[in-house]
Parts: sequence; C-alpha cells; structure tokens
Amino acid sequence: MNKIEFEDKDYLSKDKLIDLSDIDTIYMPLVVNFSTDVEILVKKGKKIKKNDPIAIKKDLDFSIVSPVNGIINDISECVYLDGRTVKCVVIEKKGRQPKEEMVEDINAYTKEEYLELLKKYGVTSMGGGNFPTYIKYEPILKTLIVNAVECEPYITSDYVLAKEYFKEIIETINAIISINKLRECFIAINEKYSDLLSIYSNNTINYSKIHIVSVKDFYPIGWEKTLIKEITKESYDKLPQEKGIVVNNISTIYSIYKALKYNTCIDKRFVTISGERVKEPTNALLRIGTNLKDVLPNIELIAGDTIKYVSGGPMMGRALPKNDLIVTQNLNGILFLDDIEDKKVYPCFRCGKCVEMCPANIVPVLIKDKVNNPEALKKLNPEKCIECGMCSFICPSNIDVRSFVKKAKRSR
Amino acid sequence: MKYAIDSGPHIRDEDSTDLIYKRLLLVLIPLLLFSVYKNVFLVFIENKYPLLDVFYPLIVIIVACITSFFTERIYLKIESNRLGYKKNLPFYSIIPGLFLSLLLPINVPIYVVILGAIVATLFGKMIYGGFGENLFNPAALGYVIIILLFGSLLSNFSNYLNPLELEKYSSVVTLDYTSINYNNLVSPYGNLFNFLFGTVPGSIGTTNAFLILLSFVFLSILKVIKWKVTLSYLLTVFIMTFMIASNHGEGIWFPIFNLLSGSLLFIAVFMTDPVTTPTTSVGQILYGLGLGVLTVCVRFLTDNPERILVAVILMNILVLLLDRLGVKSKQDSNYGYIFVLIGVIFAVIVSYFVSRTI
Repeated sequence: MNKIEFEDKDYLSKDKLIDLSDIDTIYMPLVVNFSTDVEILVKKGKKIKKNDPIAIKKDLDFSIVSPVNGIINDISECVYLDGRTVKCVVIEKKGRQPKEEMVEDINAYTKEEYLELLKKYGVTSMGGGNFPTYIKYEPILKTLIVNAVECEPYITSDYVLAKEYFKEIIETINAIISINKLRECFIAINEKYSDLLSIYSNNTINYSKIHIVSVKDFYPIGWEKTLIKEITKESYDKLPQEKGIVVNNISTIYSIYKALKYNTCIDKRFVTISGERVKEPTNALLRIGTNLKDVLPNIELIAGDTIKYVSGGPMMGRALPKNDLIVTQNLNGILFLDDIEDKKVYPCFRCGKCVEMCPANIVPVLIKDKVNNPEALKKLNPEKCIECGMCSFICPSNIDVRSFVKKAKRSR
Repeated sequence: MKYAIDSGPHIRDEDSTDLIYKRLLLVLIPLLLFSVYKNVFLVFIENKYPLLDVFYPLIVIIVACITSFFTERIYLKIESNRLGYKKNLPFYSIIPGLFLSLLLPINVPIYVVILGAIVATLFGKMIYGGFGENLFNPAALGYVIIILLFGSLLSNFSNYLNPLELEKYSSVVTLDYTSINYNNLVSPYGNLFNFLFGTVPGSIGTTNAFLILLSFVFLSILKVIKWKVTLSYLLTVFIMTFMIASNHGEGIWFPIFNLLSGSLLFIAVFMTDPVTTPTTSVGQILYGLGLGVLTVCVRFLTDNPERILVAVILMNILVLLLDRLGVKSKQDSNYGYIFVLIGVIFAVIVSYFVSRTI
C-alpha cells in the first residue's frame, strides 16, 4: 500500500499561461546533480556567448552552459531550489542574441554525435534530478520511457509543455529511437490528463514503436522505479540502465529537441506558480536563470500572515526563507501556501505506517532511531531513500521522518 | 509578509496520534459497558448483596485509572525538564491502569490494583521516557509483577467469580487445558456461545469474545493496531491447538474454545499495542507466531494457564531482533518467506511435542 492519492489541485493552473521571459539578468547556480563541486571557467567582466561553458563538473565530464549572449557581471551567491545558498555566475544579457538555425533531419545523427550534442548543450534531467542526460544514454538501451505523469498536486508545467510542443516531442522521440536503435518507447501520461492522452494517441498512430500508456494517478508514480514497475513490470537494483531502460521527463525530451534540432541549450521553461495564496494560479514561461524576485511582482498574492514559499511540489519541495530563488532546469513549480498552524509533534509510537508507505522498501522509523549510530545504519540502507516525503506525510505524530532519513543518508 | 522555513512535506495526512488513541479508548467503551452489565448490573438487580460488593469491579477499574494518571503526573513533575514536551498527553496516562484492571480477577484486593497500576505506569512506561519509548507493554508488566508477588491470588479460581457466579459455580474447579474434554471444559458453563458472548466467569473486562472481535475489526480498519500481529497470533494458537486436539481425537471445538476462553482474545487485540511490537510486516508476523507458540506452552506445560502475559513480556524483549529480521526481509522478500516458514515448522514441532506430553 505504498501509494497516496491526492486531492486534485491541478485545475488551478492547468489551462493558464503567461510569458515572463523578458528578463536581462541571468543567474546560473553552479550546481550539477546537487553537487557544488564544479570548476568555474569564466572571469568577471568577460564576454560570453550562448552555449559556452560557464563551469565544469570534472568527474561527470559535464559543463553548465550559458543560455544567453552577454557579459559576466559578477560571481556571487544565490538560493538553489533545495534551500542551499550556492555560488552563481551573474550574466547580463547584451548584444545580438544568436539566430537559431534549424537542422532538417534529426534522425541522421550517429549515437556518438547524439551523446556529444547532449553533453555540449548541457542537457540534464528536468524532472528534478538535474543529472546529465548523456550519461543515461551511454549504455546499450532497448526501451525509452517518457515520463509525463506529474504526480505531485498543483504542478502542471509538464502538462503545459507536453500540450504546447507535442509535435516537437514526438519528432524527438522518434529520432531518439532511431539513433539509439531502441526497440520501443512508452510515453507514460497520467490518467488525469485525458486530453493529453488523446492528443498523443492520435499523433503517434504512424509510429509503430511509440506506445502511449495511461498510468494511474498516485504518488510517487513519477519515480522511475515505480513507473517502470507499473509499465514493464520490471524491477532493477540501482539504475534502470541495468535493464536497458532509460527514463526521461517529457521536459527533458524538449531540451533534447533543442539540442538536436537547433544545436542550442534550453533557455526557457514552464514553471507552475500556484497555491492557495496565489490569486490567479498559472504557468509561467520563464528564462533559465531568472531570479524569481524580478518576476514575482507580476504575480498577485493573497495577503495574510506567514506564507510558505515552496520550490517544487508540496511533497518534495522546500519552503524557502526568501523569495530570491533562481529558475533552474529542474524547477517545475513555485507554490505559495498557507503555513499549517497545527503542527503539534507527538512522540513516535511505532505504528509502522512509514514502513508500510516507503516505496524504497526501507524502514524509516528504525533509521530515525539509529540516526546517530553509523554502524547500525549500515544495515538499514538509508542511501536508498528517494526523499519522496511519504513517511513524513503519513506520520500521525507529525514527525518529519524524512529529515532524519536524509540526515542518515548524508552521514554515510 | 513573513516566510516560514520548512523542509516539507507541505501537505500532511489528517490522521493524528491523538485521534488514534481517542479511537482506541472509544472502542473500549462497549467492553467496559458489558463488564458493568455482567458484573455490576446483573448482581445489583438481585438486590441481596452489599453495595460495596456490587460495585467493586467498577471501583477496581476507576482506582486503577486514577492511580495510573497520578503516577504519571507526579513523575512528570519530578522529571519535567527531561520529558517536558510529553506533558500535553493527558488521557494516554490512564491506559496502563485501565488495561491492567480489565485483566485482573474480580475479587482482587484494592492495594494489589494500586501497586500493579503504579508498577505498570512507572516501570512499564515512565522510566523509559514515557509514551512511545517503553520496551514492555505497561499493563503486561504490571500484571507480571502481580503474578510474582501475589501468584496465588491469580490462580485461585474463586477470585474470578462475581457474587452471582460464586453461588452458581462453587463446585467447579480451575480450568485445566490439558484435559481435552468437552464435558470438563465447556459444559459447566453452557456451550461455546456462552464463551463467545462472555457470560462465563473470567477477568473483569475480557470475557466477551464477540465484542473483542468486533473491536479488532474496527481497530484494524481505523489503523489503530497492527492487525498482522493479532491475526498471526490467533492463527498460530488455532492451528497448534487444532493439531493437539486432533492428536487426542477431539474436534474443532477445542481450538475454538482455546481462542475464546481466558483473556487470550483481549491480549491478542489490546496487549499487542503498536509501541511494543515490531514495525516491519515480517517482524509482526513472526511476533504473532512466537507469541502463539509461547502461549500454547504456557497453557499446556505450566500449572498456570492464565499467565499468557508472561509470554507477552518475553516477546517484547525480542522486538528488536524480529525487526532486524523484518528489515532483511524488506530488502529481499525471499528471506521473509524463509523466516516465516522456519517459524511455522517450529510451531508444528512444538505442537507435536506438547500433544505427546499431555
């Protein structure tokens, strides 16, 4: 019974869209896959061109690239979506922006060229992980699963993208299949998006290798392991690549499209701006690197007491202390929520609900008990935690179980 | 506008510990009412017994609850620095005393009740750090202390009889499970339905098997108790006593009688509380299995068949170990099957041994 069915909050922002991408100052946090261990390649005051590397993460051989032509204004600090304050490069957009030149046939690339493009144009997973996508494609693969399930309430940015760019996405998927010689591709769409299901079914009739799958709406169906199990009934130990499967978020597919078709990095994305405290929830088209405090004056909030400013969905997201978050490739939403008043914490009475819930099959309550005992933690595998938050969600004593497991995970 | 910092999740399940324990106490109400009906009301309408005798069972329950409540209050006063945050859990504090009183014989002296409730609350719960931290089931610990100090009190059958029953059953002797004979075990009290509906002598609040089973269903649906523990316990006892009965040429009545008689069902449902049972599924199943095997041993191999709570205390000690097996099974479900299979084989061997002995 490790699933949660949430109340629908998608209707708030689903069919609305505004363009807030007209912004000149770009902040690029120096983070790859949640690691700040990156080397800066640029200097203050120097010019930079779009797609030029800003910084490199050596062990992954992967660089962060500039989304604009401009001048490096400063190297300072900013807030990343996980709440940390990290180093960032500030770029002032200046001069003529490059024209996008279209490649006619994107099926013609070889696999080597494909990997090189993904690397060069900084394609990372946009669903949240920020993991370099080219690494996922290095092994020999048989199946691609496109993740368009968006299982967190409120968030609809993938839905908007999938609807807006369905032609581009299908074209890209077809190219990925032929370049990587895949056997099949499943586009997993949440059953709640019935219009998406029909758009994609109608437009993939001529593609025999592309299958549209309607998946049940529960949390955490968006997690690779759960999704793969649901679709192909296969389970893996560490990475889906073991079974020749690669999972990409549908937004990542669009990022791949940009790299293949226009030989450029992705410079904009949809971000859901929603929550009880937003007067008119919507999806905003934002430039990667936007400092949200520059665009938030366009969003009307409902005044009141303490507010929660959450980066991401209500389960995985973090409530941040200030509103100067930077839009990164993996930011799918911003929520303004009421601060729940009644958060009385009771002692744990070992009901075992977190154990029952945990989709990663670990034992959160015991990890919580042993959080300061590294020796005992070894047997409890806290590193398997995916930080989905279901243990904290279900805890009747309102204990933030996840934070204990996260601490245990980091202490190893 | 102020920003709240919070690592999330920002939506929470509505169920709370507070509500869960309120539900537990609510479910107990029918059992309490039945106890009052059987031991107080039916005696009262006879109109020939002194009032103190009539209301004695009620007094026992109330005294136990009050003792438990004040023991916790006083302890919290002394240790307020360490346990400050637990002060706001008022009604939980009567639980050890309440459960203990329901398990005691009707004619138990008041000082025994008070002592038991103090031990249950203080040594069963508070010294470990209060609610949620205890190793042993508090009521079970209180009961075991009473066994140690006042053993004869609990094994004397007449202590279990209310004034009415005292007249009716004066000639009957203590339950002896080793004599697998319907005429000895069931007939003196009518038939098995009397056991089901609790109109037989027994502890203050544990005789009505039907209400307890109903509570089990409710508590499982409401997710208050760990149903896997209870179910695996009842199944184990049922199958083991069925095998014992078969070996002696007796039928299905004997395992049913074993489940319905004594405080077994009450212990299965209310003494396997969440705090003192494993958190993993396999751990819970093994806990029930182990408790079942020990229960059969206590009933058939010792002189005091009513001391199942000693088995509960023994199993409490094993919780950490069982959870360790449970963790292993979570990582690889094959282990789970192996552990349970070993448990079942063990139970079968014990049944065989027991049925050869008696």
